[in-house]
Amino acid sequence: MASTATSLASAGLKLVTNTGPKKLLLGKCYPCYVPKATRVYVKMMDWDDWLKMYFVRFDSYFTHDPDKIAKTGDIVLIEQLPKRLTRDITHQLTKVIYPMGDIVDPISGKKCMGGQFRDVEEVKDRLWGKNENAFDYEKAPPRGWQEGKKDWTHRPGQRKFHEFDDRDTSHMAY
Amino acid sequence: MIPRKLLMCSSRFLHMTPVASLRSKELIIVNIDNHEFHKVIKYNRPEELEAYDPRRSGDLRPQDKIDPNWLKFEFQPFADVIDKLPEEHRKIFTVGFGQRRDGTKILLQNALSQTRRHKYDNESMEFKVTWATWKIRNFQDLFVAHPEQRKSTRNRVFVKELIEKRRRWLNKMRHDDYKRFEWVLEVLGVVFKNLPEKGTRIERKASINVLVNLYCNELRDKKMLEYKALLEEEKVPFLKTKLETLMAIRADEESINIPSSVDQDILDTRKLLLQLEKSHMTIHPSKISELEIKKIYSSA
Repeated sequence: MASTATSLASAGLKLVTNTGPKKLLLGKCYPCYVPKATRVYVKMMDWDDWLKMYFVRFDSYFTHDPDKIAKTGDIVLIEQLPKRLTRDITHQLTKVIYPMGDIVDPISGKKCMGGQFRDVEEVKDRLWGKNENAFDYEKAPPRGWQEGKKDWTHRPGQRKFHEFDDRDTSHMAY
Repeated sequence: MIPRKLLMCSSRFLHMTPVASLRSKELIIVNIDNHEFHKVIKYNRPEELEAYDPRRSGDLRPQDKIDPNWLKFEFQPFADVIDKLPEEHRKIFTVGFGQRRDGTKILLQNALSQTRRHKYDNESMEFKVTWATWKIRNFQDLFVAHPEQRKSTRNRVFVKELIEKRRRWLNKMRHDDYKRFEWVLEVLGVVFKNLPEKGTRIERKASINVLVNLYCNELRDKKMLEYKALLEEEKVPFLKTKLETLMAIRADEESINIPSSVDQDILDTRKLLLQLEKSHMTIHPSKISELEIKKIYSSA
């Protein structure tokens, strides 16, 4: 955007960017290497005065989360810290608003599965004759029981670059 | 360094050394390969795998084995009648008597019975993913049994695209219903990882750089920990000498009949000493053995 901004400035026009103090932000969690922190991507909108339209921009913030409350994909509320904790960490995680893969319909308050209600799906299964071995919500453990076993989405994607002898590299992809 | 004479003459060395070494660049390459860091860090390039390889596709177990005594899928409703027949006649209706696909059809039904929601379920994500894993593992078995099948571009591309499709389906499932996604991974034995960034290539020089950085960071951390432990050890004898000097000061002051000015300091140092003696055991139990601790305390 900088190049467009300079070109517009030379033409005597201005580009209004979404800058300034951002105290409370809503964003999505991504895996990161920094210990005791999560990377949060926040969607920003830049107003172009010439085209009279917004352009999307994503800002990433490292947020302090020592207990690892937030998991990847969760939508969280973050708050700006009065002072930087470290070189990277500028924000603090206040609340997990929408946990990933656990959608709740805001109007009826019912749990959903994609675009369908879970209750409706179960009724359908029962009408057809439900499979005994099929997935059951009541027996299912909470999210995270496959973390580090078969589900490696909590680690950033990395390609295997060396055959290590002394450490576990099962999170690396070939 | 291998002598030039040997390089030129012996065919044994010829295939062991890089081709470039026979040219004018020989000296440079040999110098790099004999650098000191090669003694500590040895780079092993990972194997380049085909897309259908189970290590790359994330399949943890192969396809189940086919039992030749199973009845074919189309004859299974009549199992009561067929089982009463003599063995030689029953054999005609079994998988062993038919083609391979008669067996794999039953394997698919076995897999689907674990995951599908109901008997007529043909379109749920669980169904799609189980069907795809069954198909992928069939091809993986085929490539092991008949390596000439790998030459077929049709087969190779079909498997590669199916693996990518399965990944997409699993990712969608992850967004829709995380608990169900984890359950499917467990039942089918599939690993799900984040994809690396686009355009990442494995390069020797870049990966050696990463390894050197890793090594340096770990060495620094180790040395810092050792230095911290050393400083912690030095705290106890220092406080003991401090206590002794404070006691001497108080004794002197008492001898001249002056109220002692170091009472509070003595109390504080004693408290600190007690705390350290307790925490010393808990903070670095592995670093300092019990014998060493006794030595420190006895010397102080």
